[in-house]
Amino acid sequence: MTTLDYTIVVIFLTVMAAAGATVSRLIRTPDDLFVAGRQLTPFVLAATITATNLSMFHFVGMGGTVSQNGVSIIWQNWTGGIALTLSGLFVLPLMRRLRIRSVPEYLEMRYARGLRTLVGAFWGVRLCVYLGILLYIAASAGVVITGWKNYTAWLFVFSAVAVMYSVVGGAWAVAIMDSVQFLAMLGGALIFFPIAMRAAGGLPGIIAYFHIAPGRAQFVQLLPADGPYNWLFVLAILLLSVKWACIDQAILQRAFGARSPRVGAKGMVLSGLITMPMAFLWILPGLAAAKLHPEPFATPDHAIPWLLSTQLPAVAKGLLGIVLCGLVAAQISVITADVNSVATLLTSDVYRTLRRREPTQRDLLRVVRLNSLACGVLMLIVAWFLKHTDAGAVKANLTMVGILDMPLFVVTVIYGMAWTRTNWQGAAAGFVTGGVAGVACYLLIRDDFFRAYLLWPARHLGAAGDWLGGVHARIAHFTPYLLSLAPIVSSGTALLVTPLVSLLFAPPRHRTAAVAAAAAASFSSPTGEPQDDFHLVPRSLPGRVAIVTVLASLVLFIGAVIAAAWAWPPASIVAVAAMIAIVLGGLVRVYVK
Amino acid sequence: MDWMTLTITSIGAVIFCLWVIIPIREYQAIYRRLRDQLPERNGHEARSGDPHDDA
Repeated sequence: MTTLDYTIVVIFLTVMAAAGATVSRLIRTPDDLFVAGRQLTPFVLAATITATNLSMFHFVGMGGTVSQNGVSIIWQNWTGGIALTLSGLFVLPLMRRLRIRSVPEYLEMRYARGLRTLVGAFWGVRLCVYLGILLYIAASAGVVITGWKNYTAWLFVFSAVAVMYSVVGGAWAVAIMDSVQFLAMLGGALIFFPIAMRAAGGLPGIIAYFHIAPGRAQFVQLLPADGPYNWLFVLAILLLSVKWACIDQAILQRAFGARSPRVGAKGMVLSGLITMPMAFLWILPGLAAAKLHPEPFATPDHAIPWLLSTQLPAVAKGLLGIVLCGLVAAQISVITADVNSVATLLTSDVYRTLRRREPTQRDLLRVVRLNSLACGVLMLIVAWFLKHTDAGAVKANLTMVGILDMPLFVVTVIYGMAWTRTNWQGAAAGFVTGGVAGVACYLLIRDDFFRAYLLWPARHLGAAGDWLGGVHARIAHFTPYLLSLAPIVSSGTALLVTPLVSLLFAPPRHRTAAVAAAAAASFSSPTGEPQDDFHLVPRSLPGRVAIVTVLASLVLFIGAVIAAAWAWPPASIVAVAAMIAIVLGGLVRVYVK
Repeated sequence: MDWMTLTITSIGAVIFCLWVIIPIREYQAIYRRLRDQLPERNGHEARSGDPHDDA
């Protein structure tokens, strides 16, 4: 990196900080800090949701995964688009109608206050771990691109900048900065993408190369029958994406800032729509890196930084600095949004629920800022530990999400909205046992984990220990499919345990009334909000046709993905067509009655 | 530039332009609304300690 590149990045950060300080003057109430005063409009919302979603995890982590395993990881983004559409149509309007600020708050309305505190604390820590992964990617990229090999210093630089933005400005700053950062990262990607393609001989040339390169044809298969990112992975990631779009605090908190349920639905669907073509901008450079550098990198996360630092300076001076502004913007927008969400969870769902007296607004604002700082410290610790593993960011994130998030989705959305008999005892049991089953999956299947954590206790358990060893020996060959198996096991356990335990205890009494009213769209909107005319079942014929198209295309999509297991040649084309039909159907639905 | 790269870059450029033009108008409307509400919101902050009391 040259002095010009550094200067461009520093000027960009300074301008963003000044803008953040200006926005912070709008902060008057906790609703301003948490949900941007519930004033956001569809395109602003789509930009802020997309910027909250996209980070260096996509540009660096996923691009790097492509350089090692091929393009099928793109389904993580594309199923995300499908999931945003489904959540926007069926889940978000209900939650927005309840005027909540967080998913745990919904759990209190539906189940009990204790479950809100438990899940709020869990989710706050869980987001800190994800933030640690993001910080690790940013610092690793900083080391490779600049050549300044002080990883710890990079950690402090990125975390200090991000925490400063979110502590000062809250959700307003996050929303407005996200819109700018969305454009900065899209602009950076639009500069980098054609340069990377040209350096590797053009996109048709790259595809032709992988078709004839020995043992590398799978790199350009969208739905491979084998490998870690095969058809089974696509099904698992669809499940995880739906979970993400329905309960992820960082995404939903942005959508709760919508002016009305319909505006929230529009923002979610528009975000899904624009993410799909944009995914090519960070997936395909990974193929260019794999062609230009056929030997594997030390970790996959080094591939894109290598491509950036070798190709951009050769085209023009200062270009690397401009593209880095986009990458830094992507990273900061996600970290600020997540830090804001952690602060919301720990303040609104843990601090408030544990206090006997209602805190004043001044107390809440002070606590939310302290929590943002605590979150910054925790993510630094996680990022520091991640440096000592070679898993790569994508694998680390998928592991954590697969184990821990699915049970929460089951109790929040599946049973929380679809079965009124579910009580808080069943929800708590399903949430905890699902998480334990996910962890057990890894400990029992992976040989290195079994030896490290279970071998010693198994030796002291007698017959039970022998049984554990036998189970491990029989299922150890599933190790390559763990990323897909863990979410299926954890959600399956929660699906079984929640109803069984619920039936052992009394039915819930008044808890479900508000949620049922919100689902039926008969919830009375507070004064001052635009009229809420968004119904789960559309009133107009075009709306109904659109909903049927969405659901039929979803079934077709799942069928095509399963057919890829038998290497059905048109599976990829059918799956992509079905995906486009889902999102376009969703778009029509949110714009008609 | 080959046709595949050109197509993907053009779609990205269209999204970029749309998201420059439309949100600026939306932000202007939000800013005007917030500016008009500011005295009322300041009063609300002084009166209420309940963060969910949006009325």
